[in-house]
Amino acid sequence: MTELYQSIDVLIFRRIKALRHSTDSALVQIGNATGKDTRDRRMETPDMRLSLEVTLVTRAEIDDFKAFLDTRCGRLVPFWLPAWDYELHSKSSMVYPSANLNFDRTEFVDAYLHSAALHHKRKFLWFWISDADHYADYISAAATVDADTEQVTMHTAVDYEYPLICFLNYCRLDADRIEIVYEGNDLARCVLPVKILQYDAIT
Amino acid sequence: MQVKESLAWLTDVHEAWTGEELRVKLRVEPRRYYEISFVLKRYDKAILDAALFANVLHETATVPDRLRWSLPIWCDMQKLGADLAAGVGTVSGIVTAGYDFRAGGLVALIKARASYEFNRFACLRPEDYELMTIDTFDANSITFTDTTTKDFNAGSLLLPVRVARLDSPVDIVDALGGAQSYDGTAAFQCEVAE
Repeated sequence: MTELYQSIDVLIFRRIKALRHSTDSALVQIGNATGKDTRDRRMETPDMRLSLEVTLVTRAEIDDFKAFLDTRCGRLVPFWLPAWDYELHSKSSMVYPSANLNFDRTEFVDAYLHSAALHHKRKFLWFWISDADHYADYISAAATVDADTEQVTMHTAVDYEYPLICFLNYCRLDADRIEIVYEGNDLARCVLPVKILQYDAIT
Repeated sequence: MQVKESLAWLTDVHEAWTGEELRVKLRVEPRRYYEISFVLKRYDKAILDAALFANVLHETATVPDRLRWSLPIWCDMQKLGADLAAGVGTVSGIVTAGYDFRAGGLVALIKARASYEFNRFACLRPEDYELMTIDTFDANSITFTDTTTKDFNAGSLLLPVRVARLDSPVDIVDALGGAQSYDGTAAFQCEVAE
């Protein structure tokens, strides 16, 4: 997994912003003559998509980005994408190293425990302290501690407090045709449509 | 000048109800498209009209070499660091990594001049540039199959060139409208053909 997300993390960390997060609930509303609607599931899990704008300001970044696109082959090859601004807030009372991490409650745990299908998309956390010091690990268990705290148990113990902990999404590009707009010789922008997938290699 | 480059792969995605996917690669290499808008001034419209009338921009197979549309890859432009005299077969002091150079491919040398309007359709005169064919290249130099016939001073432009064809019809839009106008714009969307 490290190898998979290494290819994009630094590049997108520099100058990337999410333009849009959209969720399709995958429900079909069926109307009938009585006026009472029913809803039916089209998919087991909701469809989650992002639009990311990447700004590239050097020739090397443009080359790296095009190499990244080349590896993806459009919608074919998935990659890992940190959720950045959707980070989790650690409780200050934590003692490291520890495999059990306490976070401000986001009700993630409720969803994690509620639906086996849902947590397949949200089982990896990404720990970042600098471009040189970051890693990913998967959640092996989760529980609600109290009304303000939820706890996730990582597969391996976390050594010290990381300033950024966020979900790591398993994604693929959501289009086969990607457009790069060159504003100059070494300045380019690209909007990447991304779809979040589920990752089932580790259960 | 703003240039849009599109890379188009082709994938067949089969989605299961559970969210799992089967993805099938349908194209080995991506198709490359460039989208560029030009300003049309003076005789540019006539030049463009003649090219469109002869249909030389839409296809490459039946078009003689002299009429093939060579598309400069504007976003891969770089400047020469030293003079390049006529009769020379190698240009050095450049960077090739990450640029669209390939053995057998074309390169345009464009004389340094302050007054180019690169956003104009026919901004170059024949004496301003020379097309060369790449024999070999390494990280910092390119050897041509032939020697240059013109002098290019430091600051001249070097950029890869690909044979291209138009991917969609071209609309010429008059800027002012009416019979007296001569300015206009045209947007090209073209596919790199070979």
